Amino acid sequence: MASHDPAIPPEFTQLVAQQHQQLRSFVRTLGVAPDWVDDLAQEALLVAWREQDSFDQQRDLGKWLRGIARNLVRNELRKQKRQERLLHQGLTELLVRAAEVEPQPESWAGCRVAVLRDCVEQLAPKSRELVSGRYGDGWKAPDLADHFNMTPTAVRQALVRIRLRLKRCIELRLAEG
Amino acid sequence: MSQDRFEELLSLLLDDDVTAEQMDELTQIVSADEELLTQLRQHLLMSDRLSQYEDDLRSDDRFTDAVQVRIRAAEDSSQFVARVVASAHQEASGQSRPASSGSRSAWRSVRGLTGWVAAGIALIVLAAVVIQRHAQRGTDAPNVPVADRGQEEASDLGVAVLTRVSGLQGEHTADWATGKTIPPGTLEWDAGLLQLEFYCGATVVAEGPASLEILDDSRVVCRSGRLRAHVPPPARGFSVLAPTVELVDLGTEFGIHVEASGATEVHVFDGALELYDAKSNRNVTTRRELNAGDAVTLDRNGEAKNIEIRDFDFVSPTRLSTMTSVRRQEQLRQWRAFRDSLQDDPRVIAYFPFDRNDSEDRLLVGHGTDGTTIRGAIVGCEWSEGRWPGKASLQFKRPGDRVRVTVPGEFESLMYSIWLRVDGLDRKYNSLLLTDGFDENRPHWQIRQDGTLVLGIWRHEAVLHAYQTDSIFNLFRLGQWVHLATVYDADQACVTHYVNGELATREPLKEPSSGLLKIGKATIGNWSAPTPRHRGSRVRNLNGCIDELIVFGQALDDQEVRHIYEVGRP
Repeated sequence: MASHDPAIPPEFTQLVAQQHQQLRSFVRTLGVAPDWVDDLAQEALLVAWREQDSFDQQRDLGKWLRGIARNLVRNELRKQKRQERLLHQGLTELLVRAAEVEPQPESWAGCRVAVLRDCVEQLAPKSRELVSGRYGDGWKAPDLADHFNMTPTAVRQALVRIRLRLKRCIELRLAEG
Repeated sequence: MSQDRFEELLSLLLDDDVTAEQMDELTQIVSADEELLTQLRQHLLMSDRLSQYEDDLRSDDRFTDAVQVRIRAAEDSSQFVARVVASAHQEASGQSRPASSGSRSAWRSVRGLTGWVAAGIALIVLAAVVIQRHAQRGTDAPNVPVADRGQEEASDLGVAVLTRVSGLQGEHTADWATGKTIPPGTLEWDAGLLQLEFYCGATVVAEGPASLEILDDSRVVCRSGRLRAHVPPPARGFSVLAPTVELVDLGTEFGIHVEASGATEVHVFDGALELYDAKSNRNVTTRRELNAGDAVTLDRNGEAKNIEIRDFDFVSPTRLSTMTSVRRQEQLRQWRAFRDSLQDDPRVIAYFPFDRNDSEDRLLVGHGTDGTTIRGAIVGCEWSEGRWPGKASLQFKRPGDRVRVTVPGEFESLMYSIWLRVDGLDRKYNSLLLTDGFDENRPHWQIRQDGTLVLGIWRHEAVLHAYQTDSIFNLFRLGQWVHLATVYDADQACVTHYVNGELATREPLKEPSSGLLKIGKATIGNWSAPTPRHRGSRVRNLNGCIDELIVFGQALDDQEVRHIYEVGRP
């Protein structure tokens, strides 16, 4: 049943609620394998929990969390054997370096769900179904290709275009305020 | 390097279908072109946001719950770390100082040595090891939500199954239902009988007042109470520890009665058993053997005296079976009276008692408002036994199984009540009662794969409101009859879920009620006319049995829900 541990203060729960979406997608941009993204993001929050007293309230909370996540991924790179959480060592090295220089890849990275939802739900029906099949049901391009009578390559290209369209849509909405 | 090749490799990567060589190539491309590296990051970011938005397994709630679970686990293990550190200090200094109980401060004292990130990770690894060891020992708390998707492995921490109960009374007995899995721990009750089938194969019937501590699947501590054990050959070695004696079974049937004073009687009905003095660690010098027909009484000091054997004082599994069936007939009779009373209840808009009609057994006959009859069409489902022998239920198993119904009317408030046995959560959504499609103000009542009960309602402008419980189904509840109720109360502006008559969650309406709720054409145990939007989760057949479904056109209060549960409790 409902179990909210009194030992976890509501401020921290709120922090998690505010930051987790952005943090998780940031972890993905460091080249962490999709199935391990949430796991690593949880570890970052766990470190934050332990270190919350040392956090300077004046600083940017998201930036602090991203710093922790970067350190965790760097640590992952140092492991000799347990690199299954990363997509590719060389790529992650590049991505972690890039994240240091330019910590936030996109101005819209912190956008709220509502904005994303508006853009996703505005997609043409077929695009909408592709997104739902790929991301909701975890189907890969060959499965989707069968269903939509397309080639796998065409499905992948369509998804690239859809992601770009969504990015533009979000940027536009944020610009409009 | 062409943009095309980059896009090709990128899309393979995002399809999780990329080879190591292709990854090498992609890495080489983006290392030489900063612009492409930026594009790669953008796509990864968008991909992840879409996955968070679309994938229920990555929902906000699941994630935040997992964070909380891991924090708690880490806190527990940090106390462990503190104790280890403190004892190491003691050994080094030769002092005997009690371990610090302030886990966080103790932890902080070692942090400086290693650097905080590394220390944090070490602790997480340690936490994982500690948790895993706990789980292996079978002493970890059951029902801990698992954080890592794809890493989940069901573990059964039980050692026995509660297979019969009769007339149980006691503070803790509320959820001791037939079928319940029993983990190691203490069972205490004031009166009544229960039957435990241990995983080792032994069957024990115990009568209250009793206090039993179950140590594992073949050892029980009996502090007080009367129990009878049947131990077939595979379960040989099953042992009972009493305050004055330890009893090891050699493949037989025996009874033991421990009084509150500590005085103990042992009766051997069949086979043989060994007695050892308590706390002697089965010291052979204290060993005594009893054979069929022997009975002894032991006083508080362990002094034994032979007595007459009394078989009838110890209820056998067969006798308990007869007793429970008498009791269940009485419960069925009470429920039938309740069923008949509902026919005149003006608040009921649809009542399906799941009584089998032999002449038309593909119809599910229910009552609507004002004495009307609702005829549900049974598709695929087969009739099965319900909560009691003599009570029918419908079994939903195959993807096509369903009951089509029409429930007319529009309502400000609604209340659902169902008795069901869930055998598995096979689908992303497992239907209880779903309106066709998913239109505005037409609610969906279902159980999600993670075991949460959820009432979903589309409001105007395509806003979906979901009211859900924490996970209520786990390994331990599957296969048991359970009562679920959900109240949408427009007056009090809240949605309340109940499990077995107890309030599970109460949540304010996410926005003031707008427009009346309507069920109309709907499906029990499945979903008809799924919307294209939900193509991926259109199969929502329930795996289990339903034996009662009531829909009220009004909100009922806590006491009334409690009453429905009490009168229908098997």
